[in-house]
Amino acid sequence: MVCGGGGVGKTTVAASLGVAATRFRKRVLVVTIDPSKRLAEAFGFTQSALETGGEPLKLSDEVKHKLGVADGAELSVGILNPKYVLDQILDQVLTDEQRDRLKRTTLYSQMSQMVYGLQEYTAYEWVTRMLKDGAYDFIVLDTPPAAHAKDFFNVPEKVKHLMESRVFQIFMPKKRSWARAIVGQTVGQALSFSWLEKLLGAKIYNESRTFFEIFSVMRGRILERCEWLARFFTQSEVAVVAVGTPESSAQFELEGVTDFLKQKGIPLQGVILNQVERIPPAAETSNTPLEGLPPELIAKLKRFRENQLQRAERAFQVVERCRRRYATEGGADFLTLPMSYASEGFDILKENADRIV
Amino acid sequence: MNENSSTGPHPLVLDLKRINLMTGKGGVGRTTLAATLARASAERGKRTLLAEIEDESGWDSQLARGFGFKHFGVEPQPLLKNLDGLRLSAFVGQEKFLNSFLKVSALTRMILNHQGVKWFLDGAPAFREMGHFFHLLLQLRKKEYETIILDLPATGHFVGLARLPGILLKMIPFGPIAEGLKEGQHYIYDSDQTAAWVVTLPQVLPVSESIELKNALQRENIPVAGFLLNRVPPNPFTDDEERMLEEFSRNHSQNQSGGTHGAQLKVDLERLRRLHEARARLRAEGLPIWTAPEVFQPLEELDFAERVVRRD
Repeated sequence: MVCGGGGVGKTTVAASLGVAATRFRKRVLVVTIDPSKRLAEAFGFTQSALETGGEPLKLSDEVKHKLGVADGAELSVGILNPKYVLDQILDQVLTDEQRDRLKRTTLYSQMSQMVYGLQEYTAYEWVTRMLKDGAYDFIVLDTPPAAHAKDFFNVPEKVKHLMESRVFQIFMPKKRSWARAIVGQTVGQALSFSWLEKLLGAKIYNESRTFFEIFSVMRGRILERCEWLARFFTQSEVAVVAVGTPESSAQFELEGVTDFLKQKGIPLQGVILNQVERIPPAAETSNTPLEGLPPELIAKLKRFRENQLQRAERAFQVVERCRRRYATEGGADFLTLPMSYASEGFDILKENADRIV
Repeated sequence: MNENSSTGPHPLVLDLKRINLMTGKGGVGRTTLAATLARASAERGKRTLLAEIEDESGWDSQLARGFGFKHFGVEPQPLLKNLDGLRLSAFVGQEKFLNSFLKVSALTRMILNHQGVKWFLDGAPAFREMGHFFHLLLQLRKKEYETIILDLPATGHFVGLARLPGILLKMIPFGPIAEGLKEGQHYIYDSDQTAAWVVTLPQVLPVSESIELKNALQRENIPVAGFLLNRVPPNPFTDDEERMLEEFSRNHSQNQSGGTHGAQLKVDLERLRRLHEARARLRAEGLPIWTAPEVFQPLEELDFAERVVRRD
């Protein structure tokens, strides 16, 4: 599992890990639940090709060759399509009649558009299926950026609470005893139907009841899945890798992610610092290689390189600090990946994969 | 540039509106620029509010830390002269909204503090976002600030947030929620009052993503005022000089005597190429572009006067 802040090249790192893994394992899968297009592009797919099917696709031989994927290994790539996964769950759990009624509600058709609420829930179902299928020897999971990654790890708990919530049961007509279980009569009245009906309007209120009533059929399955997943992250087969860059905001998020994992009791396998700027050679000592250029141009070149030099110097300090914090003291693996100036995307993945190996 | 700088801060080159939505993917320096602009606006004598959406997991706020706080308050708190900070909270938004509807705050509190309701509002999609939306709406109603700068969470989430009122209105076309949503839309879709700024970097992927973000915002009828191209390295070269460097690099790679310096020159040229390409691609979108230089201090150590946003 690869997690980290936004803009640190997390998806590129996940893709590189997948390429590197083909040197050791035969059937490798890289999946993202982040709706950004990067993963598809990194492997030469269009977003829609990956999303419409909802299932991972194998890379072509041509792309595999460009990426330096090991001979005889398969590399597949998938992007979560929340609606596809949701429909799949519905098909398995509901009767045809229930499913049709649910799909007719406005709430259902709109909910699939509200990707952000739904995404994490469906992501679990999807990843779980990949794991249980046993079709892959090695799976790289690219999680959403930092703050949402925390949502992601918290999903089992959150969904469990939601499913157990008595408010949920308001919409379940058979359980009339809910009012007694709630703190007091006043709250019971406040939560009564007329209040909600007035607030939401009759149409949406009735549809909500249908929606939640049918949705509640799935409760048992979702709860069971959540309990399994809550234990999942701490299993020895799972390695969590945090990605950051030397940038100060990325450092802030990296600290947040690693602290969060510690709090949750999820072991941190490794830290990867990406986009580490190299120190450029000083232009003034480069008279021989720059011979033939006017002196004022060499002076300008020096000034231009100053910005890169500053970044490189700061990166150096941050790398040392991180090495101490995460590797020496924290016991995690530590790796840096250089800022790439390759103009071809495949070359970046290949360079990274070589370095990871 | 204003030549008359001795009489005080020169006018802000950026045309801030009353409501400014700072958008952009993670890691592009959006928060730093939001703080910079807020501070610049306040220094020019405008009553300014710098707001952000809460991070429910309780991490320190990077924005607030830049002003010496762990978090901003859920009521505006003074940061500097003319500048207040605010954390938009789902709970506060939900509470205040229910209050205005139920008219009995004790009842509202009882409902919202009920554990089951809490879990529901927390776990069910859209309710949190709706709370943030209403909390913001309350500030917009008050007309207390001439400038509001809202530092929004990274890309995808904000597009979701922007889409929310429209989706909810389809679900809930009448009643008090709908009224609130429509009122909010009225503010946010009005280009006289609102400007969304897309912050990006002079690199291939960030530029692609910022163009997608701009399109997504425009699809939601949010007025996008322009791009803020951040961390632009100074480019001292004339066009002729760049051509000279390119030619030099080509000749170098032919006789292969360049070594590390030849490789470095390639890196220099690639950095320049990315800069030009970023500018050209953003310009093709037909919106104004402003640039900001790279700064090497963290937000809390930043001397704001050092950071100048320029019209490209």
